[in-house]
Amino acid sequence: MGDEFEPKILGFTCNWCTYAGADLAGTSRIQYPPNIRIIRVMCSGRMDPMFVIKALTNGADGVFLGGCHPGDCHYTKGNYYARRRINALREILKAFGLDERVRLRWISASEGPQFAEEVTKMVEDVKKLGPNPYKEETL
Amino acid sequence: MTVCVIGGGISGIMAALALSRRGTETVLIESGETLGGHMAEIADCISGLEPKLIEVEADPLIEVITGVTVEKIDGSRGNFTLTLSGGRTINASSIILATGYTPFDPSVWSRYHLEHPNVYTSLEFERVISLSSPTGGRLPDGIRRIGFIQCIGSRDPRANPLCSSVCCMYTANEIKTLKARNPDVEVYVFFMDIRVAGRDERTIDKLKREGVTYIRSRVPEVITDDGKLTVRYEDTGAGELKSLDLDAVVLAIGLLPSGSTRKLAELAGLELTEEGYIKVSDGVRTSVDGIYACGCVAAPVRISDAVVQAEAAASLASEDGSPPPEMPELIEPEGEPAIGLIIFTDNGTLGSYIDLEKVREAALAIDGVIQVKEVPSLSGLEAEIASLVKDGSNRIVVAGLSHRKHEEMVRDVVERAGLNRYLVEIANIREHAAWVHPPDEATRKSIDLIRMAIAKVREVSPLKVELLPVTRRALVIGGGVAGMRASLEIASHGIGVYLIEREEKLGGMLGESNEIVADLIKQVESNELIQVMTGAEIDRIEGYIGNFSCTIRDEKLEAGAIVIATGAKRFEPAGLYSYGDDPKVITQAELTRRLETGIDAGTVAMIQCVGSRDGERGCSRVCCIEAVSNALAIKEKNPDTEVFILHKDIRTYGIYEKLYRDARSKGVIFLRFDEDKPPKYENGIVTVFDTLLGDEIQIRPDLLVLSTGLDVADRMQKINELLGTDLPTDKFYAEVKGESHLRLNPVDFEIDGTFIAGAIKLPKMVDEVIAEGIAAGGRVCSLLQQEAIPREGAVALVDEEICSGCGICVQICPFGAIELVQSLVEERVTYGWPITEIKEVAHVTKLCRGCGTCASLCPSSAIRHQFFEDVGILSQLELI
Ligand SMILES: Cc1cc2nc3c(=O)[nH]c(=O)nc-3n(C[C@H](O)[C@H](O)[C@H](O)COP(=O)(O)OP(=O)(O)OC[C@H]3O[C@@H](n4cnc5c(N)ncnc54)[C@H](O)[C@@H]3O)c2cc1C
Ligand code: SF4
Ligand code: SF4
Ligand code: SF4
Ligand code: FES
Ligand code: FES
Repeated sequence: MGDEFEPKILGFTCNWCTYAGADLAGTSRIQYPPNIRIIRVMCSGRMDPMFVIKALTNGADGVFLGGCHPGDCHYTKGNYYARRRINALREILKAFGLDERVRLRWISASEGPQFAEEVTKMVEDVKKLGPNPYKEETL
Repeated sequence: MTVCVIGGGISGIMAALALSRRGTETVLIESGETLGGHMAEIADCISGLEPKLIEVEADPLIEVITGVTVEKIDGSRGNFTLTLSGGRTINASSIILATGYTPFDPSVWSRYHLEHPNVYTSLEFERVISLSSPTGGRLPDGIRRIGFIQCIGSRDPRANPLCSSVCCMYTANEIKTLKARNPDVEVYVFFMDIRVAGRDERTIDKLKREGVTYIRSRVPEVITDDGKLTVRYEDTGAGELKSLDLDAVVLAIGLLPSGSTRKLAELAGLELTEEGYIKVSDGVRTSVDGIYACGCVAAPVRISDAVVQAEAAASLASEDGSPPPEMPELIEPEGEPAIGLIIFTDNGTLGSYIDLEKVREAALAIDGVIQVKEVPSLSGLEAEIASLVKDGSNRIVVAGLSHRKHEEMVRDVVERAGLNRYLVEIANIREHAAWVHPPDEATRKSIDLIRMAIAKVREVSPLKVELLPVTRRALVIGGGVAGMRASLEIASHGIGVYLIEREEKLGGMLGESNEIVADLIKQVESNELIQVMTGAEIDRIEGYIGNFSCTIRDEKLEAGAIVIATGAKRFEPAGLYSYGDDPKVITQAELTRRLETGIDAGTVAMIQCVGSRDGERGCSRVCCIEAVSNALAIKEKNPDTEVFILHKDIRTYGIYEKLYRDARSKGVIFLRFDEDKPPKYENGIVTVFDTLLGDEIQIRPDLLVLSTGLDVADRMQKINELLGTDLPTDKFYAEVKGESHLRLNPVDFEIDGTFIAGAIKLPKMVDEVIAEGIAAGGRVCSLLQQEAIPREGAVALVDEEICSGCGICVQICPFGAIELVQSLVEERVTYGWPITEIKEVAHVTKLCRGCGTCASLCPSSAIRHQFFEDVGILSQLELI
């Protein structure tokens, strides 16, 4: 590894789909980069944009948000709200050049490989972007 | 007394869990070494099965005995004695047989060359495409073209005359999984008829669009030539023999009665069918009182149907349960958080993935952690958590388990140890770290995850689990077979029922002239606990689980649970095939009625799928069976009458395949037409392009019978209105929800405390509908037998002082759980006394399910999602 930049990714997943997808990746022993730390919420609808901003100012180099596919939300509609809010947030983040560091993905309980793949991709992409310039310590 | 369940596949597991939910002690006997049966072999089904295995393991009312068989069964209902192979005896009031199926073994036929490394049975292939295969579901090199051959060991008088019901569906599922993991592979499917309905139909349509080739032809053999595989088949359309080279072949094997079923039947004196399945009535009752059957022992079924039967069998077998055990007095956590950490080592295996010593040291150094303990097995959790609490821990973190799979179980354990059930947090260091990263990195990540869990658990406070009172009465909507059977089941457990029927009479679609219906009507009407209301239209339903209130003509009915059994309507073929203008054109339902007195016709033609499978509506599932049995009835009365059935596929599932065979042998003529070339009817003549002959055929029938499908639109719309759901109205419920939701909860409807059965879910034959009615009734009973229903504690809470009354949350809550109310609010001011004023504020009702969406959308940040509060989440993310 040496001095290579290892990004810190914060994950938010809903309990019913993406969290379970990550579990399946585990049960199937699919390897992916260890850079992500997951916070579990019940539904992607709970993912407050404020959390994303806090995470970015707190030192995260990327934020990965995961929920159920449209139509499959355990609470029927939470993921639609999540999508709208994150899209709105993205506009704001663009102004700071941070939009590429935030990703929302639909991953179901049976999509273990997709979970691993998405995390792998995100880690690679954030590596290319380099460290988050807005980390509080660098401000 | 105890109920004994024999067979630990999904049927047996779900029956045991349903019994324990009713407070009935259960012994679960499995001849193999582990539970799970064939479901454990189906690719990725493990994610659904695993939580159930854990529930069984942690359930104090279920005793599991593996590695034994039953050698003797004595006694009768209420008092059976079973002698096991080890010599132990078990007394049981009832027995549930769930010994499942034996997959057909194609190696008995050398012509399929199962010995070839690239010829798989479908069960073997499940393992190949499973994520837990060594390649993660990728095919061995060199397999680019793969052929699936359906109906192997099914629909074949020499092996098994019945249709196995599930292989068309599972083949499609296998291909879906295969393609997801091997996008470039070329896939061919050889089939006789496609027998699927509901979502599976759309799965197949999608596969076809994505390039999977479905070929209608029975493949008699696989040819191997220096290792190469070839199949020859008849292209029925072109009438020529073709051959296709393949790299691999999958044989979609049928499901046969399991070997030990016959032995058990002998031991218990049960009647078997001709084919060796347990003979059942009401879907689950065997010929011996007190012994029930569920799952594939009585006929090949898919998992969700097996679970329906398990639920029904459990309901019939359970006696009214004992009250749940007393809970200890809960300890009020005082002072600073004192955290006890458990590391679940998974029988010591976790230590081979991460450095447990390092994790332990790091954890002990974290502020607030007072004890760290290792626990090897789930059954050891109870004692260890109790001892942590006794030694002063007032908060618990369990590392090594998953929130999704274990949280409710862990909360129960914590509660039994005397701590509030929300004072525990999980750190998933196994699935999310140990199993997916190299040791050093996994160890580091594990420590981080434990830190985050500790940060969160420091911030949580005890939450009150409200106990909702329960109205011990049920509301059943719809007086057809499903609704009546559900009502009887509920009443048989001593619970009152309001049975509401919109029409003037009970009976539903089948009508009272049907024997089964007539019998049900008699039983329902003479049952004192069932209050039947006919000609009654429900105006409104309000309330929540345990406490619904339903308004009918200004009368208010209170009920604790609801069964939706409003069925479906026959599709009106007005204008199609001159129906309505030409008296010779009738519907299949009319024919059934006319056959009671006999018909006078020299030639009868039937057209299938009128108003079904038309791109808009799916297959109605019952029309083929109805047509074939009517055709047989005609032939029986008058063998000289010519009967033609014009169809796309003949979908005589499972045991109904027998009817199809009989009909053909009695001379009923089946003509297959293509989707895009439906038959025409002009001047009294039916013209159809028969795909087998490759030619046009003309028939002049004395009766033209239209097999019309079922239409659910008005019923679904009414449910949407009454219950505030938002379901599409052009689909049956099972088409909307799909297997992942229904598989293990097949009769649960959208809202807690509501259940669904019968044709509104998916058109079904009477026997299946009866089982579904019993299952839904059974679910109602196990709910209403509770004194009170514990509610989710992690729900939303409004801070009235901050709330501006904007009402945004009222709009967004998916469950209508927030209302605006007038409230007396105390407002603090900078100087002087607080002001009290009446203002409009949001109020979260008992409907809240705890998704937390409102908490992140309230513009004033006035809503807290308890257990998932901002402070907790922020303290976790600060550790990044
Ligand atoms: C290739 C394939 C794919 C499939 N895919 C799907 C799918 O995607 N979706 C779906 O819904 N269905 C699918 N099915 C069907 C599914 O397997 C069955 O519906 C389901 O497994 C039936 O469960 P069961 O408990 O009734 O029987 P089983 O799974 O057969 O379980 C019976 C259990 O009883 C035990 N047993 C037998 N005899 C005795 C005895 N004398 N004493 C004690 N124990 C005994 C057995 O060891 C076994 O554990 C598939 C089937 C196949 C073959
Ligand atoms: S037709 Fe019946 S036996 Fe043949 S593959 Fe389909 S479900 Fe199985
Ligand atoms: S809780 Fe929030 S969203 Fe709801 S009414 Fe009050 S201020 Fe508006
Ligand atoms: S948490 Fe979800 S269910 Fe509960 S009130 Fe808020 S939006 Fe509705
Ligand atoms: S529960 Fe997964 S997004 Fe709502
Ligand atoms: S083919 Fe039987 S329902 Fe349409």
